[in-house]
Amino acid sequence: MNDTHYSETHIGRRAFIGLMIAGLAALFLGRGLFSGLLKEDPGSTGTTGFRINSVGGTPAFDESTWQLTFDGLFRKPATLSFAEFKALPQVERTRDFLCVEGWGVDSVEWTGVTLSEVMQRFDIDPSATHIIFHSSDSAKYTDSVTIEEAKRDDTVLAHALNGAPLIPDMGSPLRLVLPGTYGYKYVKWVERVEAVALDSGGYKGYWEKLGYPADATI
Amino acid sequence: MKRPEGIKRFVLAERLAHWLYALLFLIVLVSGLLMRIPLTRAWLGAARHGVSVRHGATGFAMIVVPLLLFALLDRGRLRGDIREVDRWSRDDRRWFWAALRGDSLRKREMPPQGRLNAGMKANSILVAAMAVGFAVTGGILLGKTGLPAWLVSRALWLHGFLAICATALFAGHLVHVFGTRHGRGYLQAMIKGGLPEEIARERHVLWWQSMKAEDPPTQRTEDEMP
Repeated sequence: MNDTHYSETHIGRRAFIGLMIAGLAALFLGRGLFSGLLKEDPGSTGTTGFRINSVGGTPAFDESTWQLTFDGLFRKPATLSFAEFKALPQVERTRDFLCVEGWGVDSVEWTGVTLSEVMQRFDIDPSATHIIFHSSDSAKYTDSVTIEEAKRDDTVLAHALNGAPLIPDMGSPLRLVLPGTYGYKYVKWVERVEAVALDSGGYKGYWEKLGYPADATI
Repeated sequence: MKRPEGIKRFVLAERLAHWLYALLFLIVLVSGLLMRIPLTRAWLGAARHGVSVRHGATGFAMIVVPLLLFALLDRGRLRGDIREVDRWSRDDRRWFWAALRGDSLRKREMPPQGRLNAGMKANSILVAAMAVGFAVTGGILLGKTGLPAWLVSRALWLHGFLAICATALFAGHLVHVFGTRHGRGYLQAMIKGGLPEEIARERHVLWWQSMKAEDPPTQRTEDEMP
């Protein structure tokens, strides 16, 4: 090569370093820009900002026949209609939601019944270590929470989102809400709540059998 | 052995690295789209996790495999290519701004160029920077447990943004290769190693002159070396 043509400027490395700095700035700065862009995600469900993910389709919900079962190590097993469930003491909790895929929704208001209320009302056995939630979808999706997680005052079986009843794709009529963990713990279409005593291996839900960690803490 | 057409432009390591990178890019592009489009994401169902892991492994291979190829086949050539991409002459800068103004498309005379013109250098810098960007954001997305939620969210956004940029760059690359006469010459060079002499003379005159000065009667690629 003719060196006279290549002796002037190291533009390549400067441009590369400049792009690296721009990338890091995009990653660590400009939170407002990113949150604004994320809310306009085209795959989201209108104003709620959620993307719809399911592995077994959306099951039908008929309020006149729907039932919720509490069994396993609940010493007062019960089966409730939707009206009976809604008659339990209701709470509202506003928390951020984050999917394991990386997208999130800020300040989601959930309405429902706390798990601590359920555990007290249906008298959970002290030997229980986990509570498993069974979905009515065709994949028989399940996941679990530890008793410690269940006792938190923001772990909720929710039937409403931002003041409106859950839509079918979002888990109608009931969805588990476990703030501080990734969305795969938020079991949709809950129809059965089972208290169990497990060894240290714990319980592997649908995604956990496929490699996700059982502790989905963010 | 049959003589390749044109002037030796790319050695075997460069060509293998290019085509392997292209193949791996297509795999991550398709797997990324499958995971991103709501319809196909739902269709994947439980397989999504496996696709995600393979997507990450392929992305990792996109960085490691070309580097390994150069390390094994022609380490000096990689250093030379990096040096060439790094160093921009005054003509390179003039060529770059003229190209941005559209002078090349209007068939206006462009400043003389070496083996890689300024557009190719800029493309190489972008591809390298995006590879690092994909690796960092992809690493955050794969190892997200325990990382701050805001960091994971932004990594996802940036990963998608980079994917759009990479796809646009790839599409432009294909249009250039298949839509222009010299593009097809470059394709030939990336397959056989040799660039047709008239394209070398028209578009890389400094390099053409230096090659003619080195070996005027015949130009041979490493493929025909004994």
